[in-house]
Amino acid sequence: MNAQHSTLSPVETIKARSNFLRGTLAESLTDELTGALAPGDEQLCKFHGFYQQDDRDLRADRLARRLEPDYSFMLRARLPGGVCTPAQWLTIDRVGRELAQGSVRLTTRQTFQYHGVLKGNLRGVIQGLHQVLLDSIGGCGDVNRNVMCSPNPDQSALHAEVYGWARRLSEHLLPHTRAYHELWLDGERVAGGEESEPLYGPTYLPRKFKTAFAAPPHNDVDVYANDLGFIAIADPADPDRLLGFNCLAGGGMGTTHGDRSTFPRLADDLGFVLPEQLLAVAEAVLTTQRDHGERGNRTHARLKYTIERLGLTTFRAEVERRSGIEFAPPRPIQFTDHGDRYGWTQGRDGRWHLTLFIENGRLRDRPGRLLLSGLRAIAEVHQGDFRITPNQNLMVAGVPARQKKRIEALAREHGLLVDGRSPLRLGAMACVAFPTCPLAMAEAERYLPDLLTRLEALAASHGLADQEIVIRMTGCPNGCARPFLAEIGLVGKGPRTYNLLLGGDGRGTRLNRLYRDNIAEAEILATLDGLFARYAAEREAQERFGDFVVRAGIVRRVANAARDFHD
Amino acid sequence: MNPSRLNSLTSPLGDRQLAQLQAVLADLSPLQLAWVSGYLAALSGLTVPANQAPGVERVPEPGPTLTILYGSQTGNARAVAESLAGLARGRGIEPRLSSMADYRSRDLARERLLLVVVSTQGEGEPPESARELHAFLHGKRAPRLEGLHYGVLGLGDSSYEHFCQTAKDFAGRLEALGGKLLLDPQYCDVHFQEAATAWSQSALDRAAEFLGQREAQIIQLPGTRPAPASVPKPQTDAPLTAVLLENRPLTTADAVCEVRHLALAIEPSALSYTPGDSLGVWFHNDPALVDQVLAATGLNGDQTITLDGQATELREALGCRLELTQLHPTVVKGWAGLTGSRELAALCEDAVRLREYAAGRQFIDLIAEYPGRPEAAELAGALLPLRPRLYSIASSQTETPDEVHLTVALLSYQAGGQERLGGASGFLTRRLAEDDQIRVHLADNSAFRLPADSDAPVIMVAAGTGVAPFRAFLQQRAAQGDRGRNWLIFGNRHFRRDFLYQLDWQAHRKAGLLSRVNVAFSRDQADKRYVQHRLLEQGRDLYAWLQEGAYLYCCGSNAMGRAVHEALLALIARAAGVAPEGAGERLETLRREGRYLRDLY
Repeated sequence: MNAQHSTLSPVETIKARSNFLRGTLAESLTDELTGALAPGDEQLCKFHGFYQQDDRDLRADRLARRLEPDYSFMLRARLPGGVCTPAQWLTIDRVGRELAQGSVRLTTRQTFQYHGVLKGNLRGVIQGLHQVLLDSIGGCGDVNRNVMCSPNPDQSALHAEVYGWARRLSEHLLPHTRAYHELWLDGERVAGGEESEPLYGPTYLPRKFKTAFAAPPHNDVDVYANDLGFIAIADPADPDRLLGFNCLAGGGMGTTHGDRSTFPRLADDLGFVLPEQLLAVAEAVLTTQRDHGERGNRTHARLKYTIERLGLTTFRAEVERRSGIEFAPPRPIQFTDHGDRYGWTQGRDGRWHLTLFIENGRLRDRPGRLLLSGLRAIAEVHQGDFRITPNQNLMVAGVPARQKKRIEALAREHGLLVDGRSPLRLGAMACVAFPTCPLAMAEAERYLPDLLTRLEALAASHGLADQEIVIRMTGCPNGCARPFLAEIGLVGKGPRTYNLLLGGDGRGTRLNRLYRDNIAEAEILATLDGLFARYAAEREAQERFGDFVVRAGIVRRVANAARDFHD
Repeated sequence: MNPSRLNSLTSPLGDRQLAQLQAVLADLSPLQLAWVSGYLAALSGLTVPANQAPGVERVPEPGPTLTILYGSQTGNARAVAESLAGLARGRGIEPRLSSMADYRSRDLARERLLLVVVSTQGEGEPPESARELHAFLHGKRAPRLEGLHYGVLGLGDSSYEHFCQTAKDFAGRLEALGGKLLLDPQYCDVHFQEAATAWSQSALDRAAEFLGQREAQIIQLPGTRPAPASVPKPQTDAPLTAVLLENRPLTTADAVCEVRHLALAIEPSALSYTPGDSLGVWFHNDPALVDQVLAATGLNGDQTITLDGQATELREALGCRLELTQLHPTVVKGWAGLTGSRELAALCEDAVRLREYAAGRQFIDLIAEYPGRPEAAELAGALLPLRPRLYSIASSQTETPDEVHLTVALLSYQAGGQERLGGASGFLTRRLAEDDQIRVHLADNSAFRLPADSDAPVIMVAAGTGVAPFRAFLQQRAAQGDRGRNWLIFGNRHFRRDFLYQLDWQAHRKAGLLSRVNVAFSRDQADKRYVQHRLLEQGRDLYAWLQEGAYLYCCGSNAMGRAVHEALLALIARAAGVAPEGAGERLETLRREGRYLRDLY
């Protein structure tokens, strides 16, 4: 049953020889001749939460000047469920201002990341976060990543319980190595005792591993896009009482252009488990992937390919055998959306929550829009917590009624709360892409706002100004902004060209399909102009754009991505 | 040289001898010819230039000899000394010419006739090459010099407090040690050419008298030039031609100071250099600047003036013969006289203020601030002659035989709301186009050479463009397959903006040549960090390298050189557990052994 591979991927060798993720990172940090890490350490540093990047806009120019690329690091924190306290936020903000070029980015997986951190400042960043008990362990790398959890503020008690499980699972799946503490915090090697990784083993997982918790009816976490998913099941008689979870496995977005053996995939439902069974089941899914996942070719190393290879029945049986738990039949669930609800909402405990739209999750101070300063001002008076949403937005959560006015005033004053944004813009998402992401083939974050302005005009011209349509753009097919679940997905193919995909359902439960390959803006606009016209004329009541294009046969529904996504 | 062109009129050989020589030479390969020429030179006792055979000691010839020693920083003293030697040869006196750096101090006791040409640095300090001899003369081991007749020519700058101090020191010590004055010392100011020529002639008159009957034995060779009436143009006035191949930036657009890498094509047979040498660059002033000077003075550029006895157009003189960018206090004084400005005259009374004023301005700023209407000849007379600027060579000829690489920092500053560029750096980096020709000359720097021992460790300390010679050093060591370890300590302002030649160092490290690198970027953190701080931090290791025989090189500004020197004293005192004086002695010993070498500017 083991995956056969003639040759291991080079990353596997690096992991195996790393002495539990240490490699030569200590030496790399003291090398003054370069802002980069040694090649092997470049892989290992991901497990510690950061990626080496360089400003790709500057590469050629710097080479001509006999300067190395403009290396810096993207550091991503571990923040289960995206929840942090105001005190933690003040530190997140300070570190961003002092050591990360004055910017904090909210990610599509409910955490924050810093860009442009210089090698010499990595310790400062990690130590700063440590002061408020935050870390970046497994922010990237072949381990369980940041565990997502739907913010669901209106289901106060239920959310608190689900969030508790998300936190617990995040802790449970942490690597055991002391390397992180040694390298970044106290700097001391604990004497004696062989180290071990009881859960991961010395080579960790074949690939990244993503986990999310959803609480219906909201699917803001896009639970089906995760390797491991849990859908909270509430007692129909008591919506505050958690019965257990439907357990999902094998979702994932990443594909490779031109490689038909890669595909996005929705997670399969393994069945219902009780809360007390959750850790054992999660561990069994993870170790099954650890032992059976592909370790030769990293493009086929995610759990979704393992399940396709083993077959769902075999996979489920293996998880049951390892955990000693038998799955009950999944409970029925219904999702209504996968976006955020902006503005004020009230929870069942009477407290208020303000969701702020943060375009592409980018927080910094710009003239007239002092977003970081505004959040700092709010953090100084706020008594609840902050929650980063899966759509790169930020929720000021748990506000008592008497503080609503003050917090809203601060948000408006700093440009955090602006009225009149279109539903297109509010539902849109883009990944980071150029200039820092090494995978980017086209612009995303820097370009989507402009494209949206044109799409807003287009939608308005067809009387669709108030229609919600989920639009997501990424600079490459790896899918960080989950473009394959969007009603309109734009996936970077080359400089200024994109694949246009259509047919997501606005709930994150249906994959879209390629409609036009490798087209530039003019053709994107012309294509959507025609489709918007038809949609405006032919749609049924309440029918979403993504549903319309499937019903009208403009794109065919993806039934089984492994077989028909590329058809 | 083609031997067939020789005849009995242009050589000291008779027709028969010539025919025999030509017969022998006709069949020789170039390699054999080269060997024979060396053999014949050795046979005739001709001196091999010091820079080609470092450390080779010549056996002093019997009888009194004229020794000419020079201590030079920018090449002027060396040029004067070389002219002096040329004049001496013209009179049939074969002098022993040497840089003080190559001269063994204890030979001084045997000298009978000595002429010293030495410059003085900013704070009255000797030039790097003169330090050891200077210290020796002032030390306890200095010998009595009763049998010595000597003369001293100093080059200096009267706008500085310690004018010609080093020359005065030499004159004072030689006298105190019992030496007899051959003629009065001459202390020359920035316009040194005329005074130096006059003194040279007088000195040789006295030398010839001293050498007496020996002069009568000198055979005047047919074909040699008669002694010129004045100091011949020094080597720097007979430049070579180089062609610009490449001019590329080394710093980012947001760097505080723009530094560029220049590659010049040269004729390797005409220009042979060694890592450590500098290149003198003859430049032209910016035509726009010349126009501004003409406009400000109301003079017509087409009018003819006389400069050094030659007729030339004023515009031509301002463009390539006269200094416009480095404003010297002498020029301010001259302009004060021409304009009669009382304010300017008052400024000239205060030497410190005058120096500060001149340091931040160019001539055009001066005449804009204090307008005047001089005659063309007056203007030319007030200005100093344009001198070539020296740049440390950043390449090794083993790597690029027909190229010279330079690392040029563009000097640029605001004065009176206008951007002013450095004369040479503006010419090289902004006005020179690819394939343009420029005039250059080699300024050899035998006091700054790689160790002869290929296994010796090398420590290189540099700030800014001071790193240029170390690029040449490493290229040379790589080409020679030297096995000695190399340690670079480099400082500049920003890691991301001005880490000069970062990729070169990375390649050398990858190849195993560069074993250690430390850097100090002063503006990358709140507190300024410089190379001297890194030296102190690395003190223990650095001392260990020195104990293992490392050669320590320091290249950069004078201020940086002083700070590095202090740091070395402190780290040696700490690592060796000795008092500061003890550290000073150890450093001095290193210097004497030729293991502590500096190239400061």
